[in-house]
Amino acid sequence: MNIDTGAGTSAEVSAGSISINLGNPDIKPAYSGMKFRNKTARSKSKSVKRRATALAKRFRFAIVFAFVIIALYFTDTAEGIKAFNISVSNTKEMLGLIPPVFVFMGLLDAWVPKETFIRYMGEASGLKGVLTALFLGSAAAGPLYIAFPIAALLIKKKAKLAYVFFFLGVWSTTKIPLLMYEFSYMGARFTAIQIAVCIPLFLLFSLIIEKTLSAEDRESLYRKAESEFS
Amino acid sequence: MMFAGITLAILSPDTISKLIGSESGFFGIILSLTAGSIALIPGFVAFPLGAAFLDAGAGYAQIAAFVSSLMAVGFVTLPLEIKYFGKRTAILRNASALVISLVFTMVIWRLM
Repeated sequence: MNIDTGAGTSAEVSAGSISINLGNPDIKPAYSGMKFRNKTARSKSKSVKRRATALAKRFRFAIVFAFVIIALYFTDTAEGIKAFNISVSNTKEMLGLIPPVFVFMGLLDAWVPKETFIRYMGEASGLKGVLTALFLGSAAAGPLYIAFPIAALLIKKKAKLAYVFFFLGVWSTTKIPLLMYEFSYMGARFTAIQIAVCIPLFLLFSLIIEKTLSAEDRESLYRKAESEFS
Repeated sequence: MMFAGITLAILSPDTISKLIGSESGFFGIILSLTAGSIALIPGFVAFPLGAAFLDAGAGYAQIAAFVSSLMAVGFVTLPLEIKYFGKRTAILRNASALVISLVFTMVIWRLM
């Protein structure tokens, strides 16, 4: 891999995924916002303007990055085209990834009873909970922020908070598809050290974080997760 | 984050090895940790990039810092995380992930 293209690629990928990511957390609100905009378009132009600025504000990063890419195109045509292509392919990947995850979560929410989650990841699940979190996190694919809603679902189903945090940690570092990459690019030793160091530490810190949360904090976390899926 | 992206695009291999080469020591590690925490690069791009940086003269520890904090610490996604888990939990989780990245880096520094 050529260094220059490597560095360039990463920059554009980060730009692309950042703008996408900032657009996507609020998919539902964004949709309703658009619907509203259509409605108000017929009634008052003033509120249309307000909606438009609200929308512009919501997508301000996407807009800024679009301009950056356009500017890049005029300063260096080849780089600009590359940036555009990478952004498009990133968006495609994102759009391919999010709906299945949300459909899957919806099914999980509706079909798997709370008791099952409590049995496998609940307060009294012990080692089973740790292993379940390890398995769920490793089997996953996708960036960490996709794991947030899944973690919220686990919390809603009354999983022990420490195991949910552990799940996030595992997701971030030892996803199996990503480990393959790490193995082939960074070597076996690097990968082995990362697993050996990070997994126990993530578990330890998960337990510590849970300990530091007050009863109210925990209560509000469960409530928040509850409202996220109602 | 735009700053991070643009910086990465501009840097030449020469500067890379000066900034995060194996001689850059702790400063290079802190720099990599910061860059990794801020940037949002998918893992399947990060590892080839890390390998390319290594070829360009970056140190193993510095790359370890970059890669691990890149995946576990999300400065850009923090608002989203706060929305799901509340401020306290989100910040605690990111802080702990940063500490873990640092520990991992230190182990790599010692061993590789």
